[in-house]
Amino acid sequence: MPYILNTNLQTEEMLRELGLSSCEELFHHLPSQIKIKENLNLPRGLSEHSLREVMEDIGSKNSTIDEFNSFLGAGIYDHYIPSALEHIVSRCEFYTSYTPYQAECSQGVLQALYEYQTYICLLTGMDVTNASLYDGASALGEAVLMSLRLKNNRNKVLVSHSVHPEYRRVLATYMGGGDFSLQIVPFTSQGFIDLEFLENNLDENSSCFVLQSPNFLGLIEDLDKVRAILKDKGVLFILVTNPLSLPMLKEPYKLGVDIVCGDGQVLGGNLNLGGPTLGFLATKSEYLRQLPGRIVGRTIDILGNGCFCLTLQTREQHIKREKATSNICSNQSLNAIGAAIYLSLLGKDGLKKVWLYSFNLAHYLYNRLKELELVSLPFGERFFNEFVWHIEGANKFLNRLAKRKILAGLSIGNYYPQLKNCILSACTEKKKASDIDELIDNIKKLF
Amino acid sequence: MDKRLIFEKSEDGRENKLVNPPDIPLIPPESIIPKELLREDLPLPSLGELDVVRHYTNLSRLNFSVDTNFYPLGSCTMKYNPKVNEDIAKLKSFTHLHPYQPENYIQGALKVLYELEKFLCLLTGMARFSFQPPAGASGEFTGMMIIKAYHKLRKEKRYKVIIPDSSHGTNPATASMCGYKTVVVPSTKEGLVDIDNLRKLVDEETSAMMLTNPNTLGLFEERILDISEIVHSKGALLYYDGANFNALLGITKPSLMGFDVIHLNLHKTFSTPHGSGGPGAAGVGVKDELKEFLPVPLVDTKNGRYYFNYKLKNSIGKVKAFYGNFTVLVRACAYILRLGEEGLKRVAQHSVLNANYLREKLKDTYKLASSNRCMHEVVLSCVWQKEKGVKAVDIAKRLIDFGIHPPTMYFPLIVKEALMIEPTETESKSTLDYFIQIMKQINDEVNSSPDNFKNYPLTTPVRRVDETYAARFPDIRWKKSGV
Amino acid sequence: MDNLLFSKTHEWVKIDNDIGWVGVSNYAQSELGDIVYVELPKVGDEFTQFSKFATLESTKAVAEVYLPLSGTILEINKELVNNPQWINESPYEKGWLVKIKIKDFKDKDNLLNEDSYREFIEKEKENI
Repeated sequence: MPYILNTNLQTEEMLRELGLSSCEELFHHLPSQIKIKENLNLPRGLSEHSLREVMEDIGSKNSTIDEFNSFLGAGIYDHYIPSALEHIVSRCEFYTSYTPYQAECSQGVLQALYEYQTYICLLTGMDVTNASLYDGASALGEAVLMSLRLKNNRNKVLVSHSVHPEYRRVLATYMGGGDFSLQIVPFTSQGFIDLEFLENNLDENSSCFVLQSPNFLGLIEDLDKVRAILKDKGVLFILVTNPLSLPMLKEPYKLGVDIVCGDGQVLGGNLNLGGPTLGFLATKSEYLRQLPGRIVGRTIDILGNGCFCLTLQTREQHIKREKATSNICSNQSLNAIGAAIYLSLLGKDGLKKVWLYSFNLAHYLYNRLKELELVSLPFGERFFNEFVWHIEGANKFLNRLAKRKILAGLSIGNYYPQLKNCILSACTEKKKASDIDELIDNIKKLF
Repeated sequence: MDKRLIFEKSEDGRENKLVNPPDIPLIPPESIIPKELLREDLPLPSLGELDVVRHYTNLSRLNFSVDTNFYPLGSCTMKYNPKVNEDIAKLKSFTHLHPYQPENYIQGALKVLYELEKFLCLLTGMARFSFQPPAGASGEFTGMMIIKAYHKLRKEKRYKVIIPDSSHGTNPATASMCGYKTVVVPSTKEGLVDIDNLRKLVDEETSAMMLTNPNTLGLFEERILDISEIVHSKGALLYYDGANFNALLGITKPSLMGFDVIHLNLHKTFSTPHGSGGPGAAGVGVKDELKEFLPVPLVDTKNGRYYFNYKLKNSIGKVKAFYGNFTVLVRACAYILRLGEEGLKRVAQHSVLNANYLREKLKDTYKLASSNRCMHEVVLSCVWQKEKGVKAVDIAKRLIDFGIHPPTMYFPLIVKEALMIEPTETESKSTLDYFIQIMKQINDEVNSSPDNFKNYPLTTPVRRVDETYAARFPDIRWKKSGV
Repeated sequence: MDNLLFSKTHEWVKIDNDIGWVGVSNYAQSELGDIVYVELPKVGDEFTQFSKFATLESTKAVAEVYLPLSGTILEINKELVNNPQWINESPYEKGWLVKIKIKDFKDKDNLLNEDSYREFIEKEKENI
């Protein structure tokens, strides 16, 4: 039997030690009414060879993103992943270990996560962060629950309409556990947050405001203007952001943000059909004790040498139970270690290049689309690597392009009725100018 | 070994030239983005590829892992992670898929989700599964929100959730996240749910009971059908924390035990690796009358094509963006296909056999937490050793010196000086015999030289770590000196 | 340790006219282990007897602390924020938690003197 080492002889020997003669007897104390008596109709086991064939065959029914000229983004982006990254995270000592509860035999994982925490703080400018959460959407859920704990006499949450629709959906579920209200703040015809609406709808019951920047439409918001409005009302400022937008954009901390969260897939993660990725959440040191999730700290051993361990664990479910900051237990450590490796391999200059190339290619696409009469561009050019464009019959048009092996973007009319026939397209540094020219030529041909 | 942090190894000017400049004239960001929105400085290191590879490879060598060490961490099911599953999950045909690719182009991925659901329904007796939750705790949250939505739709006001005092900490934490008040039902001396007490606690205000079976003492709740009857008689639902399902594969099904909503930790029972703490994945299964409450989307078929079904009329919404931790689900599906029905049943048998073997061989040296036969894990109490001044944590740390990862310590909370040992089915009798020998040897050391225990472990890269210092003076990120 | 009264939840109170100093017993601190964090109430907060007024955290446990007598918080031991170890090192002196204005002296009847508290602990140990 694969993966079971005990031989028949050993099994018999062990059973004998227990005074038993068969494995079935190990379950004698289970009530007979609940025991499975017939076959379950599961398939018979496969050899490793057959399993590989079966799964490769299933895989072959997919068309990978590499088979397309793709401009899909909307939260998951196809950036270049350095070879060294996969080699390191495939080390068995990283991927087959568990949460580093026993510090003395987990120093490697602990140090790597401490470095990850540092990287997130350096990118965002924030004081503190945890060792990762599940993904960007659930990180937003945790950020909002955290702000509701910090402002525990206020139960209203305001959320920008240009926060990723999937994130808003997840947030609503996270808020469903309590008696909280959620108000959507619209965006203006320019695609930016409606500051006037925000100001008029803040009240003494408002706990936090959630803004995404670059927002779901790709636009970079005026965070300082938002801060100015929130400041006097004692409302916490939560920002959802793309960490790969930060190598050139101002640190959220400097713009007065209280909690920053988002998805770290862009930091060396595969697309994986959207998961696993990793969620991050960073904040100011004064809110440290309300931070959910695992945290790694630096300390000393009995000889006084520097080392690492999990710390501030009394916030967590295994100690504080019903009073814990969250129920989160496992996180996405391996992806967090991967993110630290990605940031190390790219380095300061490499990250700026990834930013600059993605930015330039997206703007090249924007300008090429602008040349087409069929296309209109509803918003301005203050975006990083993603923007919205409009074409009549967008859905049909996207299908026709897909048949020509071009995935031009995501149709967003379903999320925003006012943006019917609008498409959200992204460029990463992996694109070439010729890919963009090919898209433009095909648009011309199809119309 | 060079103990510096990665940031301290930076040398200005190092760069790995990983990406291509585009073949168009470049415009600078300040031509489009206002200066006040741009940052002045990016304080990240500059490193060569070898710097990075050597740094993290050396870090990896400081860890115990399943591939290198016996890892009997109770309630975590640290079984062997088959390599073929890694190869399969890393196929580009699974990893290079964008969540917004049209369904036509991801039929294989949808088939994986569909088949996995079918297999888990057969194993558990549930009607449908969602794989959106990325972890067990997220699965609990999903399941309890489903229960909340169920009562709400029936216009019933129920605010209590019953949880045994031996439960995982995630259970009460989840109940709180869902807005419920936790009511604790005590355990009997043997470590099982106190049925008489439970009968008094369950009432018309009870929403659900959350139960792990086998429980955290590794014991099967033999009166599970009484528990189910008591809970259901007041209109409450029974939630199954499937963290310990490994012991029951092919032996019984949650449906037969009376559970209405369940979660399974695929990174425990279904062999996907734990990744230093994640990513894992959970499946949340429900009985037929609750399937309309599951998160959207589910995968269904129509005219021989798979599609994402968003039309669930009472769906609780979403708990994670997109469709769950997909590549973890691929591994779980591969594992089930590899073992098949007979193999999965053998998993349960050998996990229980191995734990009982340890129990039998260690029962005279360490106090057993319960006199009952155990299932997949055994809980020992180090109270006899504590009388000599040696605590459970000291024994755990000593195990490291013998190349054994310590068991879960001080859990469940109702057992003093607890060591919770889960060997899993993938370990052999010879490994167990080595563990038994070492545990006895350590007990001899407790008798002969108890004072030495404060110093253990001796052979690790760092010595006993001061967790008190870490908590009193939190240092959770590096700062450049002088800043 | 003169004139201390104890609760069954291991708090002590030292009474001086209508003022009481409150802390946790030596037994409580030794069971909890190294204390790393203290959460104290605000001056002016009012509590009834045996209601939760503070939280102590060690690395592996959280303990709630209950006020042995009904009263109003007059002063808190602010120094503990930076020196939580004082509760371990000096539970009856430097490690005091709060000073209260006592509301009802009849509450005293529900407390134990030092000898009865010692007996109580011995019994509790046996039960483990």
